[in-house]
Amino acid sequence: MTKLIYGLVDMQSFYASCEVASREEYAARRKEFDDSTDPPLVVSGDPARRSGIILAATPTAKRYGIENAMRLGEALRLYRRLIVVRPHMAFYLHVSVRIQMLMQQCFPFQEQFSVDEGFIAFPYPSALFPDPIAAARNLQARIWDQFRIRSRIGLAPNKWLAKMANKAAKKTPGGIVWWREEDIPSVLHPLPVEEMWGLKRRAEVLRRKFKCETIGDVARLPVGVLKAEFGVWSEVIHRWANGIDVSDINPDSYHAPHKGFSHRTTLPRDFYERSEIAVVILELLDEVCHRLRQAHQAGRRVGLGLTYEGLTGGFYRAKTLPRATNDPAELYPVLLALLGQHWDGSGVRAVSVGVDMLQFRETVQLSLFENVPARTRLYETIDEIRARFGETSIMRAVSLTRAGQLRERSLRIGGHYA
Amino acid sequence: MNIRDGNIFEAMRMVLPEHRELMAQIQRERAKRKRPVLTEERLEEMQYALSEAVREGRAVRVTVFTPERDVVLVGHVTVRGRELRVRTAGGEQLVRLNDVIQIEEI
Repeated sequence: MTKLIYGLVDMQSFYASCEVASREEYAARRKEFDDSTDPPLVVSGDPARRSGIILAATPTAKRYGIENAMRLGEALRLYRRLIVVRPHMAFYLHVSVRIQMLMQQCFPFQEQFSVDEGFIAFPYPSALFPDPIAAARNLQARIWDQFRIRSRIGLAPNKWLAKMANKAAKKTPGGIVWWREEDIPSVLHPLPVEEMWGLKRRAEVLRRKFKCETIGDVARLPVGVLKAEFGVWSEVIHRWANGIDVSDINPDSYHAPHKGFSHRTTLPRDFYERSEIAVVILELLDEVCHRLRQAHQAGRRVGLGLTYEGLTGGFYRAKTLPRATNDPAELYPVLLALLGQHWDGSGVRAVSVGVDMLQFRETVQLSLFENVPARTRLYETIDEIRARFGETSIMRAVSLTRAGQLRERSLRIGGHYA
Repeated sequence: MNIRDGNIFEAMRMVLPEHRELMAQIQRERAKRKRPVLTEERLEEMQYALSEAVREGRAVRVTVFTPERDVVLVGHVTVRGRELRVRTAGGEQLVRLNDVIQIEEI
């Protein structure tokens, strides 16, 4: 019977590869199947500061012991002549979308998973793709030809196994691995339990509490045993360990309406003053409300998340309102109340604000106390000014204070320089 | 969403809002109507039909490309520089010759 083969395609050192590929001085030397031909280059969040972290490193840089998320200063100690470049997020996103389009040309079933990963699927056996490895190689070769970026492809009977096969592909010369159902006991089960993708801390629990050393050990546990510890996840864990995953591939999943909007920012230093945190909350709320207005939606639940100093600890709490709104003037007091209730006074390193339980906004709730139509027009005008003259062309005065993050944020995408 | 039955990878993926927006934007651009590329033959046909119509003062059917749809105009035509003037029953219309994708005798 014809079934789908799923594939996970990931780009090697994506940001760093984009940088290397776009600099002609390295082009002549680089070879597809020899990644030591790449220069020792890293992309660093803030090259001016040695405290900035490494966002991406070429395989050559990694051979000197340099790792992602390492401080730049430490990386330079490992290799003094490292080539350090600042991020160009907008460029990476463009390359990402173009590669995604190429994947779709080769395999109409495609679903982007992250900036540098996408799922593909194709029927097997079928006349169109008689040889799955060759089909994957065709894509891999085209990505290299067009973008000079190396990719690795894991093929398997489902998405989760494809993700796992992709991990194996990274360690395989040629970078393509195909796992069949009958391979599960020999390739999946011997792996250490920590290798199970998507479990996060649950893997530690499996080792500690359930004495599982390998994925095979997890597969042998009856699902009932896991139930008390993991709830709904018990079934997912049990299936994954047995090489089963029911996720289908949805090429249109990005057209689905948002379930919620949220923004998060990491602060340049720890904030201790309530007034300073409030400024950041208001700025994030404005961005969330802007996106709600663009989507013609309003939300009934608003949430506040704080991450404390050292990026450990914190909370996320939400409150449901009597009716949906996208007006910052209505949502801001709710967020301040959440801050008052749940913040324990620790230094704050990251703030997030989210609105969900969305509904489409065709009707307007008038109010006895506020001139709602006038305020709506005000926001429409602000949105228009921003669309024409940029995000920082009009802003709240508090954004100009020391606590304000808006101007710095507007230069960035995903927290890194655009 | 129920993690047991749904597309768990959809729930766990990491996509920046800017990335999502760019995907949508590029898709919109690709979905846009594109001006057809006319063959030499088609251009010659159009030129012949046009010169015959002008010489003999006959009405023609002119198809004009616009980003929304093809617009068909019927009427007597004259050429003014890079523009075509069509006198239709509903009044006079000026169209750029570059936007004309078909001229037929009626």
